[in-house]
Parts: sequence; structure tokens; C-alpha cells
Amino acid sequence: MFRWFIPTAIAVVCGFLVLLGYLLPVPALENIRIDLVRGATVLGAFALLLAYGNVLRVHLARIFQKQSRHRIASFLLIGSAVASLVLVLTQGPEGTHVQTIVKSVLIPGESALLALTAITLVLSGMHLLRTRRHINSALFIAVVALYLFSAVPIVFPRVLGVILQFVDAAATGGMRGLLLGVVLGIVMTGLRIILGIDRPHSGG
Amino acid sequence: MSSQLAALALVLIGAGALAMYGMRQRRKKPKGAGLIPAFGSLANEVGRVAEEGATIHVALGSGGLLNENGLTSIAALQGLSALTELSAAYDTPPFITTGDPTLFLIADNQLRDAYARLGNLRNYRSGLVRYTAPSPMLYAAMAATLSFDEPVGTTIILGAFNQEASLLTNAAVTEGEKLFGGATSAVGLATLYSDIGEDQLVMGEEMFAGGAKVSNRPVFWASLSAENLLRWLVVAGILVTTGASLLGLGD
Repeated sequence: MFRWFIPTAIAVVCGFLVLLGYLLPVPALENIRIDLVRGATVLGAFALLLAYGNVLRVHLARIFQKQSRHRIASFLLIGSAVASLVLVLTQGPEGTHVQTIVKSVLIPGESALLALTAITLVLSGMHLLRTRRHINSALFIAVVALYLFSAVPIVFPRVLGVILQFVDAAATGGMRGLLLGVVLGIVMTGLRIILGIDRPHSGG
Repeated sequence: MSSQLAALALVLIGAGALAMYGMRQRRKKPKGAGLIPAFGSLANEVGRVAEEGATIHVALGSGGLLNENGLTSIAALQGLSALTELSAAYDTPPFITTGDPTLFLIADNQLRDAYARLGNLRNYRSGLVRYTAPSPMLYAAMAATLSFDEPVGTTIILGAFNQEASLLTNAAVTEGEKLFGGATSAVGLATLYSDIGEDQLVMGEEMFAGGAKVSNRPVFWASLSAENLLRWLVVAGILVTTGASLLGLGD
């Protein structure tokens, strides 16, 4: 009972207070909400520590496994993590070397991955044309091509402008419909947790 | 202020409808068991990949409990509950990757609980759920390497995803894996659509129906009915405000 009752009771009470703090214009409730959200952020920081412990465990196991193919990669990863930690602890997050790592390694690396998604998306489009030849796929590719074409800075024929306007209106309507459904789903999932019906935090 | 009160009204109506439909659903057999084929097929994948001597990779994305995508990730995990239960029963656990530390804890908890319920906790291996990287793009790139490093037979990409999902789908397609997936954002869905068949794709709000589909608990079906009621109320609200706007009222 204690395994699920206490976490559920805490989750339900905190959930109610945070929800009421958002929805009711009562300063006391708003202060409680801010405190609870701050507390959740601290818990999030502990979760981060545990998650990094998981990263460490997975990669240390790889390093010490005799037939592992990933020894060098794991060693490099742990080495860079330790080096970054030492730099942050000695210089702080705004330190010169820390900023150099961020600007010269992390940002270009992520930008490269973002650029890579452009290629993987084209490959996915080709995969779609090859494997699923039906009207939905053709429509999907046609709309994507139309949008890409419209991004080119040239003067379009009038008819293309009308088609684009129609596609734009349909896409906006579709996106709003999608968003509406998702928001209602989120509301009901949140309500189930706040009412204690769902207990993802204690395995129920 | 008025938007806050409207939200409060929506929440209260939702809670009332959940209670009402909950009481009605207890007496009725749930309807709509054939909805969303993707969730129905997920549990079958456990047996299929086990026969192949492979494993399942579940990519849950970077939607953490402390950001706006938290409930999407929880809904995705609920949709995967049948898969985790069956995996624990056959001791053929999936690899689960997450890009958020809080989601990592919840996913680890779900898989561990599935083993504990069967009294098989000593067979649980803690490296099965992995936190890979904090940013969505790095997460997808790191999680995609699992397709090459482990004998993955099926990849399930379910949760809060945007265009980074294409790194995962591309790795899975290259390795000839079976793909399932779903997202709630338009960008994520457009990305997944090209690589995942329509029957294996979970689109938008369908993500929140996964729990009902796989667990068949009356309260989940009641929640879907309440969601439908709210939808009609919102549609009616949109029509009324549009009509009022056309008539020049309420400016």
C-alpha cells in the first residue's frame, strides 16, 4: 500500500494545487504553484544525475567488455564528459574553454545533424515513392514539392498562387484540428493522473 | 482572465464527464476494440522478433515530465504497456531510449514494474532503458546508432518527435527493420509518414487512445468518451464565436 498510496497522494495533491494555481486568480495558490514547480525542477536535477549515472554505467560496461566493438567510442565519450565537468567546475559555465567547446564542437555538431536531416528526409521521400505507390503518397509528395517550390524566390504564375493559397488554408485547418485533438488528449491524460486513476510514477 | 476561466470550465466539464462515463463504462463492454491497428500489432512484435533472435528498440523521444510534452510521453508509454508486459513475461525485453532524464526514470520504472509483477525482478537488467542525450537532435543521432550496434528487428518511434525522427527512421530502413511510430506534432508526423505504413502510424490524438486499446480498462474508454464530448463542446464554441463574429457581435 505504501508503495503506491503515498506517491499517488502526493501527486494528486500537488497536481491539484498546481492546476488551481494556473486557473484561479488567487495569489496564495499562485505562490504555492511556483514553489511546487521549483521543487519539481530540483527533482528534475536529481533525475538528470541518475540519467548520467545510467550513461556512465552503459559506457563503462562497454569499455570493460572484452569483445566490445565500442571501447574507443565509449572511452572518448566518458573522457570528454569528465574533461567538460572539470572545466565547468574550475571555470564555471561561462569560462573561456567551456565556451570554446560549446561554440566549436557542440553547436557545429548539432547544426551538422540538422543539415543531415534534410538528406534523410529526401531519402524518406524516395523510400515512400518506391514502397507505397498510392494516391495518399502522391498527394503527400505533391504538397511537399509545392511547398519547396514556393520557397524559391521567383514570381509564380497566378494559378500556382491560388493553388498555394488553397493548400495553405487546408494545411492550417488540418494542423489546428490535429492540435485540438492533441490538446484534448493531454487534458484527459492529465486529469486521469490528477484524479489518481493513472499512476505512471508508481507503476499503476 | 477569461481564457483561464474557460480552461477551468473545460477541466471541470472533463472531470465531470470522466466520472459520468466511468460509471457507465463499468456496466458496458468497451467499444472500438478495432481502433488504431498500430497499438494492436505492437505486442505481436515481441514474439516475432524473439523468433528472429532480435530485439525491439523503443525510441520515446525527448518529451520530459517537466516540459509541455510530458503527457504525450506518458500516453506513449501507456500505449506500450502491453508490449513491456509481454516482453517481461518472455524475458525478451526491448531497448528503450529516451532524451530526457525524467522520462528515463518513468520508462525504467515501467519496465522494472512489469518484471516485478511477474516476480521476475532478478532478471531485470538496468541497461535496457538508456538515456542518450539531452537535445532532441543528439538524442535521435545517438539512439539511431542502436540499430547498427544491436540486433534490432523492430523500431518503435513513439512520443514527442519533430524532424529528428528521420535520423531514426533512416537507420531503421537501412537495416531493414520493421517500423512503427507516432507523433503528435505536424512536423513529426510528416517525417514519420514517409517511412511508416499508415497501419503502423499513430497520428496526433490517437496517441492518447493507446492506453484504452492495449489495456481495455473501462476508465480509459470513459476518458475517450469524455474527450469526444469536450471536442463537440469546443466545436460548438468555435461555431458560436464564428457566427457572432460574422454578425459583428462581441468586438
